[in-house]
Amino acid sequence: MNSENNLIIMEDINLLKFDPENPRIPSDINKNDEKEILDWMLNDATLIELMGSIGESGYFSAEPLLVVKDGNGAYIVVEGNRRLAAVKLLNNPELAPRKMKAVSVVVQKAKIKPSHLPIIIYSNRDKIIDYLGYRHVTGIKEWGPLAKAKYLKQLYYRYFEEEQEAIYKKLAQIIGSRADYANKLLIGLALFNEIAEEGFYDIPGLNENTLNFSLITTATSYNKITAFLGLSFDDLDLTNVNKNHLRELTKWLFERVDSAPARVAESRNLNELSYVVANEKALTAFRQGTPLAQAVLYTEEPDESFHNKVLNAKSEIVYAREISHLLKKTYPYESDVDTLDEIKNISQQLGKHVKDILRSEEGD
Amino acid sequence: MPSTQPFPDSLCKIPSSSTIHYWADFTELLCLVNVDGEISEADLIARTRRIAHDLKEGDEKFQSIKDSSAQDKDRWNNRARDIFSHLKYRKNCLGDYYPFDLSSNSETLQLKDTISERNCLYLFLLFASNLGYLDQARQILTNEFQEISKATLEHLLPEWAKVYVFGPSGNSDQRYRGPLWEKIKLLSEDIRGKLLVEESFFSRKNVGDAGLDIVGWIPIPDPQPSLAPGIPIFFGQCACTDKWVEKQHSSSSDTWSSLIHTIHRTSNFAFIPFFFRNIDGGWQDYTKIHSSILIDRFRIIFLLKDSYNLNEDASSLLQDLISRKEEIY
Repeated sequence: MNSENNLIIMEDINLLKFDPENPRIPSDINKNDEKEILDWMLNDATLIELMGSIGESGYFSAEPLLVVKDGNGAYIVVEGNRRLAAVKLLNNPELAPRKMKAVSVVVQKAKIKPSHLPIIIYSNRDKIIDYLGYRHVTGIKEWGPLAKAKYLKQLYYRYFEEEQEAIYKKLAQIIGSRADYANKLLIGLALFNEIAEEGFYDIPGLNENTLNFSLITTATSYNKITAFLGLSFDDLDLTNVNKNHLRELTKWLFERVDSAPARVAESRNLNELSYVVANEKALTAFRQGTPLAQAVLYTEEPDESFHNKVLNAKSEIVYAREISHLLKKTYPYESDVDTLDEIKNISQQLGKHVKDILRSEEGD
Repeated sequence: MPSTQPFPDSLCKIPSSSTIHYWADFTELLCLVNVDGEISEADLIARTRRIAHDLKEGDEKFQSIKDSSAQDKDRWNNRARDIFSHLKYRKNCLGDYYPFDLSSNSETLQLKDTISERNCLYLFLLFASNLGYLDQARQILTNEFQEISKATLEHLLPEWAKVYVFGPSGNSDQRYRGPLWEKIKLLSEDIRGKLLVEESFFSRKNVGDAGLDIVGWIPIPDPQPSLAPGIPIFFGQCACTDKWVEKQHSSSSDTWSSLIHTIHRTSNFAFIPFFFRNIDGGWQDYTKIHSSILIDRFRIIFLLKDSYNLNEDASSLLQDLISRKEEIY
């Protein structure tokens, strides 16, 4: 993509028009009506986030809009319509045909409302079209969570002195996201750094590239896991973190023995882990090697657990009965006959056991 | 998974199941807490895709769908389209009782400007279906849902039918109190059944409900009722979590026939606050319904219409939850 002279100039936003040929805009929208275009663009909440980001940090001059002349002294923005919309709304919030409250909040908070934007002028739109293909079909690769966290840390140092209490709100504004998300990433990074400083606890194959950072940040969403770690979200120095517990958690999440998956390899298992670490009996069993799915059973009160298992067993067997008329004459599982006998015997034994317990308690 | 973050901050987690009715609920909750009372398909994609993107990085389970960014975007677009089609179906079949509107192109869900009395029951059931986001309100939501279930069963039966809460948290009339055995004994008299268990079978400490939340019967007038068993009897289970599938047996005739003998099988109801439907109006998953008459969000609203008023606690909880809005940052 070469512009004729590559010169970036600053232009008044009032002379910048939306591109009526923008392929993103649906065909039923009047592309010459600015209000209709803004209405459609505001459909996507990321426009509000973009407004917040520009209002906080200003417009980045190395991201010029790519424009062509419209023949009447103004310019048509072929690339950068969302950014143009964000800046127009920052200057004229009354243009917003919808999401008025959100727009008004962002405008009130905005420190910077650029009246001019950097543009590069092209002689015709064909020169820009090829570039648009990559940008809008495939797009810029979003940073992974670890990269985002490292970037946030740089911002954190830069703004901590002046913001202190509201530091996460400030970071959220700059990156166009939410404060709790920024906080979670930074806490995750602090844990990651601690693990890295400990040489990844000598876990074979574990290093910065192989460690799944998002498992750590996701783990911190569970209050029981943060309690187990002694983690507090306002303490990036990890002052009260139990280092032994962090080592244990890291091993559970990432240590593979004999190429078997780690004990808690997937984010969906973190919920069970959170119950296990909050229960002494379950935790002891898990530490001694009991698989997670079994260790979690220790977290239920035995009475509840027994009761639920009995109900579940019944539920399954009743369901089997309901579909039994669908079985074919060629049904291949002969061993079911024995299994059903076994179920009958076990349930008789258990029934007797429960009756004995209930009677003996009354006898006491 | 319950969250201890207060609502609406708890909405930073996406539903753990891919089942569409959970996602439709999640979208309605996001609409409710939005400062402008709206959420578009694009908003939903932008918000949830970012969370999912961070979750899946490096997770082996997701490697197979880590395809090109363009395909990933298309997949999310299709997903959002399905969710909004489901929302449109809700709007169409519930009409005035649905608290949201859809834009003319069906791409934006909008909270109605005025939430009428008619919309309160829907919103309450929406909250009761999402205890994972409302852990602090769990008690009020489940208690009131039991009352709503009771009212729904009353609605299905003639006026002279008797319907009571059997569970320990019932606060409407408390016909059944104290140790479980005493409750079962009274129930067997009420429904003209024969008690098959002895007091010694139960611990005095057990004040539970043995899996039975709602009971109802039609007391056909007879000169000597106790000598003339055989009346229509209705048992029900109320469940606000996805465990309802396993729980629906606990109030079934098969379960209770070992405790109380009745000449005729009891009818078993499972009350759930979920909108358990496909957009053709059929059940979302027929195989999950075992031995029970399922009463879901649609049936509850269709049956109760304007006749149910939330109790004071539930009503103020509802007003509080509706008034909570998400910060822009």
